[in-house]
Amino acid sequence: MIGRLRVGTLSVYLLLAAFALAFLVPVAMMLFGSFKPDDQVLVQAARSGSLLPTEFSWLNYRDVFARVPFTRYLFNSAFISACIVAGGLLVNSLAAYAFARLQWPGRDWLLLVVIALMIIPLEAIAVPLFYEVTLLGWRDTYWVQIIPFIANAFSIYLFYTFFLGLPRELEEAARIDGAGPWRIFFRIVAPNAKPVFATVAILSFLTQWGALLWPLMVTHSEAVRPLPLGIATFYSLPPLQWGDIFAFGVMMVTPVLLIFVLFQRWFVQGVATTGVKG
Amino acid sequence: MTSAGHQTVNRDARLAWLFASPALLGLSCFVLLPFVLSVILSFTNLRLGSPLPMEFMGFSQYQRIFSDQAFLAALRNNSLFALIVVPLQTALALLLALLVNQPLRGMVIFRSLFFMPVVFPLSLVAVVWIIVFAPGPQGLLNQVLETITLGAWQARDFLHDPVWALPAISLTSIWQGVGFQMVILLAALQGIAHELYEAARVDGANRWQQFVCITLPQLRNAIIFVVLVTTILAFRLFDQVQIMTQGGPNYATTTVMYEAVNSAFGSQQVARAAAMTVVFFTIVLLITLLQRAVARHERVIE
Amino acid sequence: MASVELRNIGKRFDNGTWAVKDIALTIEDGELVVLVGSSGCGKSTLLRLLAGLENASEGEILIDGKKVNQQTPQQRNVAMVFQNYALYPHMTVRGNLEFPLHMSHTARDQIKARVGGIADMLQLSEIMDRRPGQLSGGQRQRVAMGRALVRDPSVFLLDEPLSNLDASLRAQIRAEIARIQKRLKTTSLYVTHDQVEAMTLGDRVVVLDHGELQQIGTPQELYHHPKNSFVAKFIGSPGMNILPSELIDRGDGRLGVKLGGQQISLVLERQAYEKLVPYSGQDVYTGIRPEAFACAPTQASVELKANVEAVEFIGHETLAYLSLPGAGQVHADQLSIARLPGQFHKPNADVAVFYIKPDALCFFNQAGRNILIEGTGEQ
Repeated sequence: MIGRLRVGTLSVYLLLAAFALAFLVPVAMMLFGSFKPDDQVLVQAARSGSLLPTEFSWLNYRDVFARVPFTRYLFNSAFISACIVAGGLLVNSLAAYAFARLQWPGRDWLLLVVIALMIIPLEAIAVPLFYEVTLLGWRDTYWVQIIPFIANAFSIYLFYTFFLGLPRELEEAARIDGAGPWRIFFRIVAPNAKPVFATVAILSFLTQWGALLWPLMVTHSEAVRPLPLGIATFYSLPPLQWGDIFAFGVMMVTPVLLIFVLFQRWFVQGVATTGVKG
Repeated sequence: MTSAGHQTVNRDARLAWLFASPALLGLSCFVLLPFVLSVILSFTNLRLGSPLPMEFMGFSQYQRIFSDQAFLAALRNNSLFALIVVPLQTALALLLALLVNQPLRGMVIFRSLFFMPVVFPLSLVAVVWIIVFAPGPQGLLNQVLETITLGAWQARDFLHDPVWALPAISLTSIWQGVGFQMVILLAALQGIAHELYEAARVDGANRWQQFVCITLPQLRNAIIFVVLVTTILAFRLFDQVQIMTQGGPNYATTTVMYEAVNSAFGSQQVARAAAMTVVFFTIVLLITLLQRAVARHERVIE
Repeated sequence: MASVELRNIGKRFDNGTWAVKDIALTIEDGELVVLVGSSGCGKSTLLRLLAGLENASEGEILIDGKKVNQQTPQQRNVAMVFQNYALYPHMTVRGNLEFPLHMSHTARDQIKARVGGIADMLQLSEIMDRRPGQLSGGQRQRVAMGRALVRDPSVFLLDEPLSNLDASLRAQIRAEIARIQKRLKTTSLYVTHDQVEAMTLGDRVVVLDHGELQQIGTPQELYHHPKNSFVAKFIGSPGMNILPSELIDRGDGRLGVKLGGQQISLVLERQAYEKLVPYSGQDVYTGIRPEAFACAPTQASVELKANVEAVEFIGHETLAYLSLPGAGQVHADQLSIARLPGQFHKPNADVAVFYIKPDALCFFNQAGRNILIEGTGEQ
């Protein structure tokens, strides 16, 4: 029995290690490649063990800042994502509360419409939306990357299911205590809804941080472009220097990784709960 | 209803509109409206920069795209991509979830490791994997395969090979997405009551039987969800194609969205692009409805 | 401090059924009225109508003589203790107590004073900085009461406040609620399914069944003069035994009642006789309280033989489960129960003789109404 257990445990660890390797290798390659001088990046990716840099240099990082406005891209991504997340948390939670707790004519079929809208991905509406924002004169700004994404059907749905599950008595007690609806929402319901706020914030941040298609379509000046677009343009910018690109990638992903490591539990929990409901 | 009842509804209604209108406004302007426009445009011949006036053309856009080599290739590619990625990614996610669910030390580290690529933007992932797929003996994958097959492997240029391009993109997507599905399946796994397994063991079931008779059925809804989301994402494929292959070689990796974006911005054929996106939406809708029907069927049985 | 009046209150659900119908009730200023009935009888609905959490389909609600149907809960100055306490989990005890006062924009120093006073009265001073999740059931209950009382409400509503407590705590807190209410003299409506709480706490008791008023009265009135068989069975632990029987005219102005194979002769006052006589020869229901059974004859008592099916020794008394000879086969839940002092042994022959005072009997017609008080007095 014990022997079998050990073999079982060992094989689990082996399998996991094998997969872990497969997952780590591209990342490691990027990380280590970013420290190598350009001529060695590709060549030494060859023999195993020479993944590691023989000469350690920060040259690539300096290059990145010299060739593209990296800090600008970083700021843009952060600013845009933060606005979308913050705006979305407010706007979508309020709407979901109205659906979950208030009685108003048309509520039920409007809810169905919102749920149906969940299916429509950005790609299906990107083209008309592009012309819409052109008409509005929003091209090449921050706002065009933020405003269309604040209202989000999926976020509303997540909030809605959560609010439905909150015990009504808390709100009733607050009503009897004299609290009006705004106070009830901000002082009673929201503080007791932290899990769903975290989930929505994380999911929406993850989606927005990596957005490529829309910024590609609606912006052309680097002043407002976000990171994913930055790396795509960087990649197509001659000369093709992989070391620089890797450095860009490392810097691009480090903030998100840091947040991930710090808030890991929330990330995983947030993702998991979407599936449980689905 | 009495006047008292009516008063409440009126009060509530005012409040509800106040609460819901920002979101509803946003959704109407930036989701519903463009979608409706899309559908309308798909029945026209709108082409920007063309001297011809716009006119309604019925279903002719649809006829055109369905007889267009590029679009048909795109449809085929999306389907192929889904057929490759969905089973592979789901199975891998399940396997990883099962492994990580073992009561052993260090599982949290592995879980984080597998989830980490989800946090990477697709564009970055695409760029990094270009190196992995680099042609010639320098390419990482080529070297790994050469080592494994002890020299029998011929170095290929994956991304420029009509046969290997799509599988290459599939691998990239799986690498990036499997962590997400793994976490969902893991949560579902952990939600299975221990007593079920204990009852099965008392009834004499071995581990494989336990897996088939308890684990899989309990995971049914989670798996259906994972399959649905992965399939929808498979049809949305754009970022990797844009960066890694630009739809080639020879339409081997073009996708519906890639074609649509190209039509709209490349050749300014807005109506054509609209028709493509409507087709895309219809496919996604059908799949979603199918999933809901299957899931509901399951709930009825329960 | 205020009086409460419900006039012809009815509440209809969306599917057409009536949660409560035709409820007329007046609660005097300072009175504690208990609303009692089994689950689903509508008592919680009435409470929520009074609080403003639901809207009445018909009728009027008046607090202190003013009609409040249109007012929101916020406007009504009522306070409520919920069954599950509904304490704000993200606030401390202090935060929970202060919240209603913040909502009414009370001055800071006043808030401190009031909260301090309530905390002292309910012995909460030690736990002011804890969260509800860290409190015991009894503590939570007191905080819920404190939050309700801190505003000095016109009406104090309690929705089964003791049902989530351990049995041992219940009696203790029941007494405390009575004490507080007497001291503050707040008009209170207390809802429960437990008739012991109703009898011990209420100045008056309202019995509800399936949304309809059965009887309103003092505990004594309900016990001695139940208006119908539902009230008779509900009040008392255990409640009154209701037995099928036949009224017999024995001639020369005397009536008897046939229970199974036995007949009991009734000595009645003029009024009672007049009321019962129309039913002679008909089937009626006879009600005998478990406490009415005695093992030895007393003045004016008559004999009643019964089969003893089972006995339960409680300590200070024994419960005997009886069936009447000649009444045919009875199910376990149709047995009559007698409460006998001390220890009572099952007799060898299973048949025992008991003694009943005929004037302790109640009689109910086929509609369940108490014949002897039919047509007298108010609802």
